[in-house]
Amino acid sequence: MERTRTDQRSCAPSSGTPGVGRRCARFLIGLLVILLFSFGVIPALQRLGPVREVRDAVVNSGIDATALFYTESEVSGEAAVAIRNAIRYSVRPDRPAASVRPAAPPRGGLQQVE
Amino acid sequence: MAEDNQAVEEKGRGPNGGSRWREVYQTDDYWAIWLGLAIIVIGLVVFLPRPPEAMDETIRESNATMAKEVEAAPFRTIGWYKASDAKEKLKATRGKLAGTIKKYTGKPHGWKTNPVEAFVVTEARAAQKKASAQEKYDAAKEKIDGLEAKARTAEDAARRADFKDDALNQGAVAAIEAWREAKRPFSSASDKLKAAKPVNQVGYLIVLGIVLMVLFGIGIGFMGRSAGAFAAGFTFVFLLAVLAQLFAAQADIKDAGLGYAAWAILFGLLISNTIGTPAWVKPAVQTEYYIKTGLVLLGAEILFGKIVTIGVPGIFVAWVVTPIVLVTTYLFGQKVLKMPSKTLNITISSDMSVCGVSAAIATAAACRAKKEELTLAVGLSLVFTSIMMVAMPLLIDRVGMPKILGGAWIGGTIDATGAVAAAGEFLGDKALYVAATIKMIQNVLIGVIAFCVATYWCLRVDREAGRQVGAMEIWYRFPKFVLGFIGVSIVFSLIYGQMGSDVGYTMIENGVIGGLTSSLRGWFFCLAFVSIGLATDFRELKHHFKGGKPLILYVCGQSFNLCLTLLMAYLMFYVVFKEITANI
Repeated sequence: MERTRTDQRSCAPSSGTPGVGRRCARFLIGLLVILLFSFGVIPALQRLGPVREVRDAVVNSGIDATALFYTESEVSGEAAVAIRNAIRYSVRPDRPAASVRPAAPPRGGLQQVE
Repeated sequence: MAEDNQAVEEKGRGPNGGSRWREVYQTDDYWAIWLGLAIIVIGLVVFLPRPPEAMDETIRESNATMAKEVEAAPFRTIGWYKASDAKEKLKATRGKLAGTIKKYTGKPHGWKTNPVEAFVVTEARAAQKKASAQEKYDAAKEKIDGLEAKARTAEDAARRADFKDDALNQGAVAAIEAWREAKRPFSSASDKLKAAKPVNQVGYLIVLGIVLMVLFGIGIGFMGRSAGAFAAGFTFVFLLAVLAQLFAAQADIKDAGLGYAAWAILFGLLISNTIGTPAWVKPAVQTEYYIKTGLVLLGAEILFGKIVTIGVPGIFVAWVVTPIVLVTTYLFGQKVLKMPSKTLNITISSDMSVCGVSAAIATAAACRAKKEELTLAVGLSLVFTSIMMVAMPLLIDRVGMPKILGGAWIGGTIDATGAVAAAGEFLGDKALYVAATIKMIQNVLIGVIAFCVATYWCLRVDREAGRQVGAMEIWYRFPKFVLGFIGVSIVFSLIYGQMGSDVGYTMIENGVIGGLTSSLRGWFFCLAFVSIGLATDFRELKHHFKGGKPLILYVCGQSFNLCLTLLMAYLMFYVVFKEITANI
């Protein structure tokens, strides 16, 4: 990623910028806005009818809605195992005998069976 | 920092070619590789010799049971599901050493009203939580046991008729599905009961902070900067990262899908644009260093074997649609919207079409985008992810779309895995499994995207007009950490392929990755986002948003993504590969 001049600029304000008091006031206002949004707006939105339906499903299931990548989500692993098993050991509704791929022979190192 | 790297490179261009070797220990590109590799080797050494007890036997027996059950019955029986569950529970992260590592690398715990409980839970409070969790666990257990009993009765009835009675078979299938729907709420109640213990995470976080400080500090020292100054500033950056993780762990915020990335950037922006980032913190504002190290670790999670998990339909929805949307959106941005910044264009196109924040990070690093551009791309992705996480499942449910189609649509379009899972859960197990699997396959595409973007930028975008670029110059310009990222991905993909998907799931995904590299990678990205916030001027951010072109690009690209993904999912799952859909 390109290192912009903001990396190199002085982080302390120059003489043309607002004084300490004003900067602190802006910081406190900004912090207040963040807190209001986090603990006021978000919970209120979660209680709206349609949003609540989805939220309740998430809460009951214990799914982590903040996971960014599949490895951070337990349910992703569960899903992959379930889908893989469903396809590998598939049933045929029309007859009891089903299509099954033969197990691969065990390989060296950690023994595994497909 | 750019000037230091450039100086090293220019010195190497002289007749004394040997001095170019200094890059290997003086640039963050290479240090990201060394640190990433060191962590990965530690993970392999810790986890691979410690498989769960009777792992091979459990896998063998479970597979044999599933094979036997599908021969006996025309539907998936209780025995089939229990065998599948037995395999799913096999995780190397359940070992004792893994548990210890988790304590040191873990994020703050979930909390509702009292933020202190994210770090410290007293005995008295733990007892209260346990009592409440026990009540919910008992209720969930009673429900699932009752449903299992009904499912067993229905299955036995169908079995007694030799599975020849359609009505009995359908009754059994419905009863078994009802039992399966109760599984996740029961697991969640069980996890909450297990977690209701006294906790004191403060000491572990302090140790983690010191370890990360030393880890990154070593590289800083070799890069010719003051390790002491870095260490002082790192304390502040790490504390902000902990604060971001704290906010992300709050119950309502977590359920809305707003993770640490948003809070890390917000807090950083708040400080840098009001009171100003203190000068003593600046040496630890090392965005590229943290991101590149995180990306090398992310390489271990790019397992190419996973793309065939759901067969050809998954490959088409995730690996054919995605590049088409990415390239089309990029061209739309260049030719129609005339975006002034190519790097902003490709970063937004990537995060919208691939998988959100992680794709934005990888792409931005590969094309050397500005921090403000990454911030903008991440911000857009997070906002629209939260909206789509609610809107899409409701729409799918209201119009009566088939669940598997809905799941594939969600998986191919919503940016973040957690939001995909949340949206899929609302529609039921089938939709959830398909959605999460499609998203996982899309995640794996990041490796290819990052490599292609880095190559394209070196060969075409960064070169001077009319000038031929030689092979050595491509090598000098190519971001080296991308090679580490791809190299680790290839090695892990080979290890995973050699082990097979069952053992690979247990030892790699839920061992090396789940037990160590993924957690550390999360912390590194969090440090990077804090650094981005601390180094970003809000006015420059506003400048990149001028005219609303980034927003228009995202909306148009995502609209195209939604249409094409839905069409492809329908064709693949309901026209061409109906038998795969029937088996899910």
